[in-house]
Amino acid sequence: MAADGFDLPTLHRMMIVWEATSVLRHDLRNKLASVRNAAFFLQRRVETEAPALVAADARIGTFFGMIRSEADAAVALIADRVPRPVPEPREVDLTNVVAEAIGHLRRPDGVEVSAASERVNGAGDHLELSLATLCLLENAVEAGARSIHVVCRSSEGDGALIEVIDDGPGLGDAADRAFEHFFSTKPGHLGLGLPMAKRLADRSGGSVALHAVADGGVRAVITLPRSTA
Amino acid sequence: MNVLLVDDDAAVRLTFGALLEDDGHVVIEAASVGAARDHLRDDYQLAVVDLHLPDGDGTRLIPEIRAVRPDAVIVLMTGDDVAASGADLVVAKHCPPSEVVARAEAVLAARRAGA
Repeated sequence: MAADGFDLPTLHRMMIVWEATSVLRHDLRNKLASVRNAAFFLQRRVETEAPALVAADARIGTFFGMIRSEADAAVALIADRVPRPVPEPREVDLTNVVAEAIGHLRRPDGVEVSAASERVNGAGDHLELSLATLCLLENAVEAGARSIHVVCRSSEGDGALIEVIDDGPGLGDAADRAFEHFFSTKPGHLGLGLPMAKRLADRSGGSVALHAVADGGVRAVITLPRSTA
Repeated sequence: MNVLLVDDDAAVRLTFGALLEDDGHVVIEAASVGAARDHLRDDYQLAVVDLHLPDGDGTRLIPEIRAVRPDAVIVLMTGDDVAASGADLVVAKHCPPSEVVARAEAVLAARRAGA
């Protein structure tokens, strides 16, 4: 359990909500910014091209101002009121990260999950990296993999890797949309697992990438810095 | 001022760009990291980059812009908390274009004064 009292299932539920609402907030901010800018453009045009009209009815100026002020107020309403600060990075035993993720994976009968690790530490947050790994495992299960192998190892340079290698159907035609929020090729799926894994890896100073495996399947890789220095 | 505007939202590009052009600036538009890379060597003095782009973080473009346009002011537009992005300015999405330009011009003036 993390120092702030969360366990992995709790963090998972929180991150789903956080990820979904952050996308909605981003898209709404875009819309409100466009409304605000469009109103300002129109106001300048009207004041320039039809000053008599503006002078004849004070409500014109008032309403243009109201569009901008209401848009600003709406932006303030959708501000992230419960932000989750980026945890202080620590040296994390990635073998334990993988073990926790595998321990929380719900797998259908017949799906084998194995792990092989060299003892390697990465920089980040144990719970968030466990959840990122769990998201990749769940993605493999949902893709129809029957065998999933997880590896922790050092990478070239001063990095560490967590690799989730599956024998599923592979990346497919929509590979370039894999990290898009709410995108899924599987009916009934929310499409937030891979974006969540990416965000969690980013928060630890790392990254996530998907690679095709030669015989089919996917190798999903979380790359992390080795040191907190 | 020539402005490279990178945002995947068409309405944002249209309205933000219209206000910039109304103020006499020239706008070069791009809707993604990939599209922006086609314009990195264009002539611009200000780059306004959305953080969330469909093919990656806008922060990826920052070192690439610096490499080819070291004198350009780089503004990252986002509603998120962004630490150490490498941009010259981080502004909220609803910041008026005129204010973005004014703050960029202040950065340029400060650079000239420090040179």
